[in-house]
Amino acid sequence: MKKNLSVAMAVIIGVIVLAGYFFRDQLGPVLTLIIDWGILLVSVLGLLGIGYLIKSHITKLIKKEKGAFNSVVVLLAFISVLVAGLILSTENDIFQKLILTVQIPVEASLLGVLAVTLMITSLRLLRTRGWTLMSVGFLVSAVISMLVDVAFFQTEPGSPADEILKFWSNLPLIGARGILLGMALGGLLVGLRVLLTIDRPYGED
Amino acid sequence: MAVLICPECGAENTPGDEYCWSCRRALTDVEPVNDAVQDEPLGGHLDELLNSEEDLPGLLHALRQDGNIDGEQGDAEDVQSGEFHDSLGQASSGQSGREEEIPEWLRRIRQRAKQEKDSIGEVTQKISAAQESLADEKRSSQHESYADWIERLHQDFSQEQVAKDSAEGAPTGKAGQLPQTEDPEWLAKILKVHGKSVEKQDLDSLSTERLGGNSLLQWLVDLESGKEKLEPLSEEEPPAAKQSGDAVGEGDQNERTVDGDTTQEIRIKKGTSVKPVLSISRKEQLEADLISATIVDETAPRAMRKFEKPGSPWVIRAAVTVILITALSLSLFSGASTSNLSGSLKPQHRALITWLEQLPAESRLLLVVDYHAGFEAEMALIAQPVLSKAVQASSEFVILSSTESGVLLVDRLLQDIDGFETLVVSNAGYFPASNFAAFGLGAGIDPSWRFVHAPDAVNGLPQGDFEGILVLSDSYDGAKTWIEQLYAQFSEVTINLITTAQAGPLLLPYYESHQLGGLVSGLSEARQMTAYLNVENSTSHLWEAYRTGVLMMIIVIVLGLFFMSDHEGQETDRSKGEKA
Repeated sequence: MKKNLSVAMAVIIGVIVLAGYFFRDQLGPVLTLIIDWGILLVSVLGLLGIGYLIKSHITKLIKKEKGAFNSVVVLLAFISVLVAGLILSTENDIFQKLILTVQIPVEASLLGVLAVTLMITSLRLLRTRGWTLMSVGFLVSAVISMLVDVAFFQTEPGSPADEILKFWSNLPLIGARGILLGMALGGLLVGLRVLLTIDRPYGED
Repeated sequence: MAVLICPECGAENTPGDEYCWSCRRALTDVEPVNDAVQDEPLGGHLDELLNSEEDLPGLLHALRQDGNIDGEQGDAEDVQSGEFHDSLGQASSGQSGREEEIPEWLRRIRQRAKQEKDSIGEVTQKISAAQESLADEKRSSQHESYADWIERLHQDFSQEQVAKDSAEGAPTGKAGQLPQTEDPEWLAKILKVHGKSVEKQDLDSLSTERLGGNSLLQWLVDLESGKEKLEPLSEEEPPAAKQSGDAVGEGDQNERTVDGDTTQEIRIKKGTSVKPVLSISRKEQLEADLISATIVDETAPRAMRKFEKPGSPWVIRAAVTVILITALSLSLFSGASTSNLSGSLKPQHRALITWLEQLPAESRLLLVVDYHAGFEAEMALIAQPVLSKAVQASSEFVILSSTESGVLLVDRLLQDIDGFETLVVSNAGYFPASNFAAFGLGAGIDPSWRFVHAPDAVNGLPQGDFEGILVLSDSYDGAKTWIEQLYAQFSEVTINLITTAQAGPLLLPYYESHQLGGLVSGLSEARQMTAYLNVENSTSHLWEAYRTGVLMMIIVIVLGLFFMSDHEGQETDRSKGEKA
């Protein structure tokens, strides 16, 4: 019964949302209700995620597991931000600068580390795969793309070198089109399967 | 009719045939036999027995003379056993005392069949099994008929005795019961034939010992004396037969021991549970062996191989670090490139510039913020020239964020733009799911989640018309959601995209499909836009540093290829040596 209810709800809401693209005026109130509920559920999901994160760190702290000090830092940061937000409100300039002053360097550092990690991983590709056509082709393509991106090659417009350079510039575009077409077709099929209840990602089987 | 029976396979051949039609054995040395004798059914003897109701003592005598129903050793189970079947067959077919009449070849066949079960052909075995099964069924029905016959005989005799007594005026017993003082005539005959005189002797005095245990005669005597009651045959098999049936159920052919003799029988039982036999083909066995070997190999303990980090002198590492830092610093302070970049503008850049130039005065623009704090610096460099031009032509910016810190980031971004102070900024807040927000925005939905003292982050979806939409995104997924949802419902409004370098290549096809009005992505394209729009910012300086960093990364990759390749070669040689 519960299973059939979730199936029926998913199909009905999916069909209504799909029909909303064509009958916007007629289905406007229903779509408003659905969007309200959807955003509300996602917000509650965020609260649950925060609660689970706090619970896991508290558990780690109580059990004195490895890395418990990091949990202390996370909990202190969370509590201080929460208290500051409640006291100062989110519109306060000091609070906003406090948030961005911490968040921007931290995330930017992570992205810098990610770039270096990607570079080392590409080098290790040869170690794991060896000197194969694919591994060498991948690295050569990456190097050439970076050289083209930073305008390392300067060519005269209309010259053969310029045509080759354009070809290299458009090469990623060809791959991107293929990927997008595949993703679009895949998304279409997944949507149809969910609407036809062939796939049921919303309930337990 | 005379036939030739093949000694090899047992097939019947017409007289005059030189070879057996079945096995092609020569039949020159085979004597013809009478077909009527061979075709005589085994159960015919019981029919004969049933037809001789009036001469039961004689029949029992004949059986006794044949020694097939032994009064001393025979029992009731013999009636149901195959041994009794054989004995009946032998007795009625007149084999007893006529063994010498059996042809020599047939005797050899029987003897060989007893010794080697495979000596007779498969067809013959099946025929024999079917005949035995048929004979069993017939025998059981005949046994039932035999019991009925005994019952009828008993009743007839009782009625006859009652009539006789009534005629003589003697006292009669209970109907259906024999008078206890006199012997039945038929029983006396039997006992006489059996060699035991029962004259003037009560039936009760006939002890089991004197009559030879559980013989048929004993049963008849007990039946007459009332010790044994005739019970109707039930559908359930006797325990012995049931046990035998279970044993047979394990296979179509088995050996059963009855009174010390081993009898081989093939019987087809209905309703008996047959134990399934697991049969594995060779291919399945090979696959099972392969799986077992794989599991054993995966679970086998192995010595952990230590990864030996190639040691490089610290001097080299320090030198490389100094070179990197110096090169980047020099590139940062070297000054901006003044080369003319207008010729390298791409179509998507020109389209964006055209849209900015054609933007009407006092325009109302929707700014969608879909990038995270880590990309704040890059996004500021890319978006600043475009937003500077947009601010000049607009009167209101409506800001909608799908990232947690999007509202704060766009405030910080707009504060660095000239003319921002004169701009009306409407903050629609943060929406936790970009697809919900994009769909709701396109569908013109006015959500009802406004609270009295709620912060600006929950102001709801913006309403009204826009002259243009600018999406600032740092990922392909986020930008794709906004483009697809908004274009499906805002196709009359131009959507432009400002994105980071990592998301640009994948989103370029949306421009080529005219879902995007214009697109700019990455620092290199931002530099071209800045130069073309003649906006003063630090993009040119940072571009040189970015270029230097990328070139150094390329050098590191190329050097690393050779370095790691040598190391890989050493490891390969070492592993080959270990294997050897």
